[in-house]
Amino acid sequence: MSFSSLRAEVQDLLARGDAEAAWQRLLTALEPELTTQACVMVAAQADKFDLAALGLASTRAALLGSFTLEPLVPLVKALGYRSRLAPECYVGGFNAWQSEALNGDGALYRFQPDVIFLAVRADELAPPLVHDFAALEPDAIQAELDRAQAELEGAIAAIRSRSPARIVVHNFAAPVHPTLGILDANHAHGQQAVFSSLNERLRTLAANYRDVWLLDAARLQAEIGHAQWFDARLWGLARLPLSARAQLRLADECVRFLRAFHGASRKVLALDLDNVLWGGILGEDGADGIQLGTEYPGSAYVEFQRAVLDLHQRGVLLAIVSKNDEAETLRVLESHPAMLLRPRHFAAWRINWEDKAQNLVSLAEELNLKLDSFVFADDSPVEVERVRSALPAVMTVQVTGEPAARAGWLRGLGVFDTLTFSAEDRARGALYAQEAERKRLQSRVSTLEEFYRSLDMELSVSMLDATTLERAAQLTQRTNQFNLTTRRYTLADLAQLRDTPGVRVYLAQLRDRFGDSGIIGLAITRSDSLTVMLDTFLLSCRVVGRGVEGAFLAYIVNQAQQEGQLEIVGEYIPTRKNQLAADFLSDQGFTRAGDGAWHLSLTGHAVAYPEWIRVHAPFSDPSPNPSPQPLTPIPHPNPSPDGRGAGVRESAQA
Amino acid sequence: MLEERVRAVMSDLFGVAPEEIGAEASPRTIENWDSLQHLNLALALEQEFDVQFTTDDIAGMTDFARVVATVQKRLPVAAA
Repeated sequence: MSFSSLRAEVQDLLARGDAEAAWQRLLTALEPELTTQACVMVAAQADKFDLAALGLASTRAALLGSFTLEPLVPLVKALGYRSRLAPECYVGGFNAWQSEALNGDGALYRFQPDVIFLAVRADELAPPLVHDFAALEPDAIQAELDRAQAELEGAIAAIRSRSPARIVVHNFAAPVHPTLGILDANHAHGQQAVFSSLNERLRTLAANYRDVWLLDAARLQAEIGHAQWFDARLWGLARLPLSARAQLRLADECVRFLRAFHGASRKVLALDLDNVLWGGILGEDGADGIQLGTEYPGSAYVEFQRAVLDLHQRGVLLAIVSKNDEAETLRVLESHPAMLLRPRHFAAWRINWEDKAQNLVSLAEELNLKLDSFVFADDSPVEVERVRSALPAVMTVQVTGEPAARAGWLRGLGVFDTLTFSAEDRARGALYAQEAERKRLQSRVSTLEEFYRSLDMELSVSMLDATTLERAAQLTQRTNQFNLTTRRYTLADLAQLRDTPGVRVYLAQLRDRFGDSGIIGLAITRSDSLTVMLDTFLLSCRVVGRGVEGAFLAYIVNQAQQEGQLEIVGEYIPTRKNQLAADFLSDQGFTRAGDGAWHLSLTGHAVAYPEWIRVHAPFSDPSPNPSPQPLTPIPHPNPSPDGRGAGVRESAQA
Repeated sequence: MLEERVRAVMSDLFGVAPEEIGAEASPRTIENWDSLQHLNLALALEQEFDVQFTTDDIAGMTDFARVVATVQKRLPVAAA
């Protein structure tokens, strides 16, 4: 992957004076996967920006240690930028941590660090414990431990007496191949035991000084495995005992500390529900049909809920942002037997059909927190993109990949770390800043129309045929919310309708920038020479609210008009679940007659399509839409396991 | 083709335009090509070409021509 076009775009945006957009564009280099090259490039380009003006908080981090540390600098910077921090870094001389700590007039203290990382390895601090271990008597081991502890304490005390900076000290990983081999873990004075003791001494030592924290380097190494952690080539060439991957992981851990010190850790996890807290879509599958329980895949969603609950118990606020019927959803949250999360675990929720970005702004107000405290997790790339583009301060994560892996993924996010120190102090001071930012934000959230346009939506309308019968029947049986009349049809019913003169069964398929949603809408019309009756009109709730329903109806209405009909008549039959569709016909210009039905005269102008959706159809159509395209084939309604259609077929003309 | 891809990786890492990376490009002619960026170069090339370098390979790729030759050497025989 080359960054030359991205750099050019950033340059261009800067030249046009839009630093904020240039910065956001630059940071996209760090997604979806973090690489060393991307971090190096971003850190270099950052020199062109006034980071303070962009709202990034400055933080001064010094890196001292017993091995090569320079490569960490661009990584710490880039990861810091992603958390709206602007780290400035000082790197101590090679293995000069002790003299740097002791030299009161030295560069370290002139740098005035906020944080000093002390990355010392046992290999350099206490070589006999690593390399001559088998030759050591127990007394000699103790003496070596005492000496190592004293040297560490000397440096920490020296720093503490000269600087108010927080100190973060690496702990020690026991050698991966202990000298005593399989005996080691069984031996009272094996390396395993000795390193445990060393770390225990370090922990006690840290507790005796103000603001000294331990960075669990041993755990990081265990997390990715020593074989992945240590790259012998880099050690040989540059005395760098960290592989590329280890460098990234370590830099990430350092930034977790920086975030926590800055009070910049995220505080709220705002979750979608469908296909996040349970498998399936509540509105379509019903409370009994969602996947949540003791058997796979329901069990994977329970595990994910457990990970969410762990966050809650640690003090992370939970919120819900979901497009669903609120009453039905709350019933599930209250009483589904397999739910681990209950309404009382959530600080607030927005369960409605509104724009999720607006919902998040509203939640932030309710919780009295800034948007940069929020993490928004959703399985829909459309929703994630909407929030990402409208609210850059929110951290958006798309919940993706297989359900069984998601609990681990959530636990590893590492953006909620807190220290108990001064959290309340920071909150007080921030209250005023929050108010101001809220006002600024309201005016900056981009309009929905702009966003819809950016989705590149395409609607294909076609007629029911043999290959789509099953999907059509499924839609009539399972769609409850955006369904005007809730008439249920079986396969046989639909097959008969398809062959009935005067009856048409329309199917709508939606594609957008993120992919193909498949067949998501169905309408049935019955016509005589003058009037078209809209027997059924429904849309999957997954795609409601983007103008698709309007476009679909506009197509049907315009076709009726072309064919010389005078009037189209629809009904709205209210049920417990279809409140969502109550105003649809009236919004589309239909008027209610004495018989309770909704009428639209077809002798006026053609009905306009929403501008941001292109409609493809099998019939030629002189509507205000761009030139008609040839019929787009409809993929097989039962996709093959790899997610693609099992084959595309031409849809037969009805 | 191979040379273009190597140039693209170097361009991103060292922050210079691909056209400025000639056959004699080396740490002496490119300012950002220092000893640590050299390591990042090796790692980036490993990712780009899905190859594995030895320590000697990394130490020996001291100019553009040698870089290309080393990548070539480590590519599977079938690949171009």
